[in-house]
Amino acid sequence: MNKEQFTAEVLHAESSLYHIAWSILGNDEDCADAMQNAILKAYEKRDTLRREAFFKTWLTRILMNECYSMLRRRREQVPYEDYFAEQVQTQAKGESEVFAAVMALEEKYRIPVVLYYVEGFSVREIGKMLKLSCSAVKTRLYRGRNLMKADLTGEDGYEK
Amino acid sequence: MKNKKWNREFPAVPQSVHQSVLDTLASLDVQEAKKVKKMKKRTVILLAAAMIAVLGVTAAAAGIFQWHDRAGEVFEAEPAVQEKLVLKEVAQPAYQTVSDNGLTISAIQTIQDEVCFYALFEVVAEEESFWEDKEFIDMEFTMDFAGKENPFGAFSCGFASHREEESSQSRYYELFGTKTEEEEQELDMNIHFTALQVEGEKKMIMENVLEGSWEFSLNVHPAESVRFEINRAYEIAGQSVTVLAVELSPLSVRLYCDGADAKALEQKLGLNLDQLDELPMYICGVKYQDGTVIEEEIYLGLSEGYGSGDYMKAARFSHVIEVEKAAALLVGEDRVEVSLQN
Repeated sequence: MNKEQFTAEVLHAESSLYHIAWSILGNDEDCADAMQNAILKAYEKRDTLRREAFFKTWLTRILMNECYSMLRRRREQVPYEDYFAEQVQTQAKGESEVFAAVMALEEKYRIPVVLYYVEGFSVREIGKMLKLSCSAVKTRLYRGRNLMKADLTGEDGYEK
Repeated sequence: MKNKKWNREFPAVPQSVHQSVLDTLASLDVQEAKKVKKMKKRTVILLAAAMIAVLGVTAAAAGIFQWHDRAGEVFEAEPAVQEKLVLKEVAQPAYQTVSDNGLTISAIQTIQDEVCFYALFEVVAEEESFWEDKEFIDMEFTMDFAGKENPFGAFSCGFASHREEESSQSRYYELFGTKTEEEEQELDMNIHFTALQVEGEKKMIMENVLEGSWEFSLNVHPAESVRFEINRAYEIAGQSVTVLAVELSPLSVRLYCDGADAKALEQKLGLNLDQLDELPMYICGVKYQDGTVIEEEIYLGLSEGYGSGDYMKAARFSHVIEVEKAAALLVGEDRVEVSLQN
């Protein structure tokens, strides 16, 4: 993959990368840093990507690793959910109830929900990215969806 | 189920982030020069890791009836229950240790029934500092079953999170398998670890940092579950569903229902099992004969579908269940009590 192809692929994936980074880090400044580091690492290692069709999945995984490395360095002793809630609170994004409901999910549900419902990755791809079995991914999606429904409607129940 | 509208609910990339991406892409030529230098360094590291010295297999024996602490935590099993399950061959100690190239791997424990398989290994390095710079680690391995088919329909593996109180020289490696429904025979599983891998600089692509040969032989067998013939209709999520049978083991449950009833429920709720949906018949807990309820706080669904026309859902318990005490299975949001009376 040459530089022009790489650049085009990154720009094509930019919106997805931003959403995924935001769902982990919860603020624009850290998202920009994580995306920058991920792009540089991916470019450096682009020869190791065997099939260009998997570029977006590959780059997403690099980005997620970068986000989690950044969190480890920055959050120190603050529990992750507290850290994330504080970040999201100080960087409120628009009025979307769906966005707010996704961001209110616990991380273990939030990340699979964003990857599947927002960015369209398959269960198998998400399993590989998060190192989970397909059934574990499906369970988290199912539970995340139900929690969101409860949050949005104020009642428990099943999706119809 | 993927809904493009969800994407529109998420914020657009702000200009500051977009500009940062453009600036990064514009700087890629500088990165090209750095890449050449780094590749030379890596070649040296891999050559230095090429020495292999097999030291042999030794047996160890201790705490025959107690599980390893890590396995006990994973399955939330009390000591008295652990002992019972060792006697029933649900849990078995492994007692195999192989050292090679400065890394000692011990197979410690297997825990399994007709549905689940779990194996625990301890990986010990000679130097305490060995693990310090290795964040995302994994083991490369191959498996074979003495010429028989792989019994696992789904399989996951990985290092367990390291905790402060554990030895800094060692890490635990775990395998979780979900057996296929048809798999009922006893198998010899040969698992051959060939390298320790890290995901350090080369994200996503794992690299071998320590190669060697660590080979183990484990027994895969269907520790018996108890089948309860039910054949009774229950109101589940507003729909009458005939529960045909329940197969219960200390580790897992299989719930069999009338296929037509399950299809009707699927249709009524607008669900589609072929598109990732799941029928709301998940297992909320087990009620014992003395009224105690063992709550299932983390629902661990393994599989569901219409294998032979009937509907079957399999799930793993997050704590070990004492089958002989079970009086009812709690199913669905309404925690419908499916009576376990043979």
